[in-house]
Amino acid sequence: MVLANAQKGNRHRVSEILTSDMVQGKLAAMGLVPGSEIEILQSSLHGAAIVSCRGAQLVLGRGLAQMIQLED
Amino acid sequence: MKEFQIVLAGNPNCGKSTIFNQLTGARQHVGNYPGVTVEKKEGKCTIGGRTFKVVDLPGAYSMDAHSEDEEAARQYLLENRDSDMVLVNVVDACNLERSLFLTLQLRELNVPMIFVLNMCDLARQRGIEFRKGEISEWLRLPVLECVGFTGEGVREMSEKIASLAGELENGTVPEDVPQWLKDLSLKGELPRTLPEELASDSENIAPKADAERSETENAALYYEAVSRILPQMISTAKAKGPVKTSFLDRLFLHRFLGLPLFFLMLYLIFQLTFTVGEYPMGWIESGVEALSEKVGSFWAEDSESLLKSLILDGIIAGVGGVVVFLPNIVLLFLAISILEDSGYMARAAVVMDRFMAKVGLHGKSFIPMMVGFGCTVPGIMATRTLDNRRERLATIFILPLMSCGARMPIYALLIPAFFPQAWHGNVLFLVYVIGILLAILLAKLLRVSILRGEPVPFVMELPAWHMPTLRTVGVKTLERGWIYLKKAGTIILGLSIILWALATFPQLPDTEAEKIAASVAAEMSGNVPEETAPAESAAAETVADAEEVSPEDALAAAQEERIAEAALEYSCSGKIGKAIEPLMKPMGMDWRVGTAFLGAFAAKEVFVAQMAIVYQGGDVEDEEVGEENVLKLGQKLKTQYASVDGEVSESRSMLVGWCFLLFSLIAAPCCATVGVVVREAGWKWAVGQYVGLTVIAWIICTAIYQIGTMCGM
Repeated sequence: MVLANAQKGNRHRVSEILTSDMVQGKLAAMGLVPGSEIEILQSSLHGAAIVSCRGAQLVLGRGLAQMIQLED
Repeated sequence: MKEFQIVLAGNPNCGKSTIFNQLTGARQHVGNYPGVTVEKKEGKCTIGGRTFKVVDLPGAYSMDAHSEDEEAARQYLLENRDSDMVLVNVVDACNLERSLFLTLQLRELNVPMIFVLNMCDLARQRGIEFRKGEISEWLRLPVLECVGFTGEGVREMSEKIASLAGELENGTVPEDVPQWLKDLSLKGELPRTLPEELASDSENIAPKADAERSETENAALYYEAVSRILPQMISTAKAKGPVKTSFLDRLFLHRFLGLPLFFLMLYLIFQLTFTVGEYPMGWIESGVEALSEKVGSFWAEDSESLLKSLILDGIIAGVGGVVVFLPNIVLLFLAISILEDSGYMARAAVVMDRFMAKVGLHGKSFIPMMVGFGCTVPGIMATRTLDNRRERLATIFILPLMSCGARMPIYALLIPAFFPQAWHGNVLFLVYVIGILLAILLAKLLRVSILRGEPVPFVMELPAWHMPTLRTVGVKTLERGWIYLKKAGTIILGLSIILWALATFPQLPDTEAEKIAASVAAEMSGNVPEETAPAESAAAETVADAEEVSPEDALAAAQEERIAEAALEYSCSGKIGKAIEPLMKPMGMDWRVGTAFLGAFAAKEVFVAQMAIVYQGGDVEDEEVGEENVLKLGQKLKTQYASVDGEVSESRSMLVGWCFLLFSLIAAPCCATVGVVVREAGWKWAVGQYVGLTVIAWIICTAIYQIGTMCGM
């Protein structure tokens, strides 16, 4: 499943992030790497997704949310 | 004694600038959104007789820079790692896990360093307790707690820094990087083995032995390590659990309500600036008038003294004209400060992301745009937080369309002048919204033409909500008000004198004045010469029509008015204005407005000063000042630009009003903006932006004016 389709309130583990190295690096610096556990605070059905990750709240654009694979 | 420098480094929005201000007594801008500080700031402080240079670096999530502000921080650290410094790693205590990533990278620089847990009060509220001893043991660093906002713990921190500097000077070597960290960060040269307590259970991210690890894999290892250490560093026994979406977020980020709420807030802000601002504005205007009368009374009533003219028509009119709008400025900045400190700025970026994504930008670009409501220059600086150059250029290009604080006086002059009272707040709101929409439209054009490119994924950290306090908001607002007054007293004062001189010299020769007087006399006695413009004779008639005025007085007044007008036209300002008038005419403007817009290049407020200077002579008849709360200058403008056949037409007034407003909104960024664009994007962009925006403004205003006129407005 991709983050873009994840339901609000659920917790998931990130399995893969399919973007450029540059964006992966940026996400990593902000705490989001494969293996990170995230909680969906707002689903990205209508725009950006908001997730809680390592204590920080991150906003991820819908385009990006489609590139983040989650474990079920 | 050596001079050490204190370097503050940490994640964005962790409170570095607040601590910087506490240490140095400076008033560096602070706010509750990531990217307030985008270039390093320097200051000085003295602790226990030792003077330090203090450097506040832009926030960074890691030492692998992903945007220009992060790069600035990285470079500074790498270039100065061998200098005499104490690195202060400021950490948001509520967000320790993520922050430790940067901490570990900083630790690897192996410079003298202390670890400061900032915003400890909030962490305590959440029930988090720190085992400082354990943290210190793990990182081999001194660990301190503080609350930058209140100053709690700042003294202990400075003392620690000073004692560390003292030890270093005596030759003490700072503690080496802990072994487990050394093991972690060997980048591919050796097969890595994690320290035993960290190694178990990490097969899925087992380090590659031969290839260099990518940034992400590296990060994954660090986080793995951190998440193992963390439970030993803090005690969350009493913790209330992670903070989930607050009520405010459910409201302001609501998928349907978010956007309307954003516009509703803008609407309220602009209603407020007008309705509340009106009263003090009236007081200031009366004050300026009283001052003008008082100063004027030093001279004989019909004195032609140049000094009198300089002081009354130049300085008091120009500076006074600008100072009148202080209340609007203060209210605007009050609102902006609340938005900045509460954490709403980042929410607005999220809400606008849907819009922005459609035009090839993303929500993060909206933060610099919101900063631009205060002033375009810091707005353009704030684009340094954007990761992609093309997006950054597009954002820089459209930023002047976000109405800055300096344009507020122009709007505050023009709107009451041309629009009925009930509309004032609404028109102001509309001007801002038109600016935003035009900006978005223009961004779209740029992103499909010269700045084409894939949209960059949008990722941003959402700061926690924070109740703005009277102290921070009040201080910021008063500071901005003071800056405005200072600007009026320095730049605007200087420019007013120049503008006055340009509007006064060369003076009209007496022979010309006599000729005009004679021709007015001839007109008034009935033989109107063919060549007089209808508007001017209309003005003469209005004066003649007024009942209580005797024919002699009417003649004298009309003569004076025409001579003043001729003198203005004869001056430098008039000549320059006349030269550009053919360009202004199609928009319903004349050469006076042209010179005001030219002057506005120096600073936007100059528009108001110049209008006040050129309309200084000739008072408005009392009966015309019927409407309440309209400045006298505004009345003059309405009479001048919205008259059809000598009668003020309300529909024409609005047409002209919109042309004036839109031209001030869109055209010609000020010189400070051009300067910062040159620095951030280069000459080509600065010139292109200046010319491009001015041409767009001209086309829009000409179209509106011409169509409006055709429709009989």
